[in-house]
Amino acid sequence: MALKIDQGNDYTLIHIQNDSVDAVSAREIAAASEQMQAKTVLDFGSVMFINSAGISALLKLVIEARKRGKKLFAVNVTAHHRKVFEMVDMLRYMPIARMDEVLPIIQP
Amino acid sequence: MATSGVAVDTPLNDIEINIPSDMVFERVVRESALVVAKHLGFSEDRVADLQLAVSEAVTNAIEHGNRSELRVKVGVKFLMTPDKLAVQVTDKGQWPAAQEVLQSTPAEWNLEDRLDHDLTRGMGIFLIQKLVDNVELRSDERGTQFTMWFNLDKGLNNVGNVNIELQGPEKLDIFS
Repeated sequence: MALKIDQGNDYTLIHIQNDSVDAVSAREIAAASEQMQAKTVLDFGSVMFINSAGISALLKLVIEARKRGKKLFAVNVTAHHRKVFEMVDMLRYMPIARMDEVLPIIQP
Repeated sequence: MATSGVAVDTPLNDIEINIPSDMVFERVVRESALVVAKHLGFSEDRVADLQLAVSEAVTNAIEHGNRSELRVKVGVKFLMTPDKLAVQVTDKGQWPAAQEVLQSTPAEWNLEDRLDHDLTRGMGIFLIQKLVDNVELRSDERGTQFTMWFNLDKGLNNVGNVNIELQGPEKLDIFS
């Protein structure tokens, strides 16, 4: 499995466990949109590589979040992935949070 | 970044890889790019740029060039000269309006418009043009050759360039 998903009353925490977010892992990541709650946090802590196929999968989550009024955040994003997300304007829709900001949600 | 043709100087060294047209093998090229970039002393950020650009070019070659036909190979050459690294990716597809495709790729990415139309693919060439110093696309009845250049006079490894730190943004209000 590429993902480990923790859920609470109004949050979903998606740990991406693959080191690559690419064409091979994209389908499973896009399918996670079914499990998004009011606040959904994507943990990129294990991710070493993201390409456009992976970004496409993430954009499917962004589209679903927008349609359903959910909020999406990213944590543990490397400097290079942040650069790439900025290139494609992803951070407007999936801002990067610090883990200490997310912890109160998932450990109230 | 320019898109005009630039001759590949006589390489000091070159590496050639041929992979079946299956996305599973794209990673083989990406890992090779990592080895080449580290050998050349690329900074951490520049290594990641190279890996992403190579991944995008190989993905295009597999999906659009060779139509994911497993028996048709994608060829990748890393050509190292004293001042440049060139990466040539070849496939058997044809792209009649090759140069026009490069020149018509938008300089800016309109994600809002794409989200409104549920368009999530088609950013590979855009990313490549953001990441490399020069590209050239040649296509004829024999196939397509896509070449990317990385200048070696920038992004070489030094303390100032290395950044493996995990970054966070300004404080977010995620409780609202």
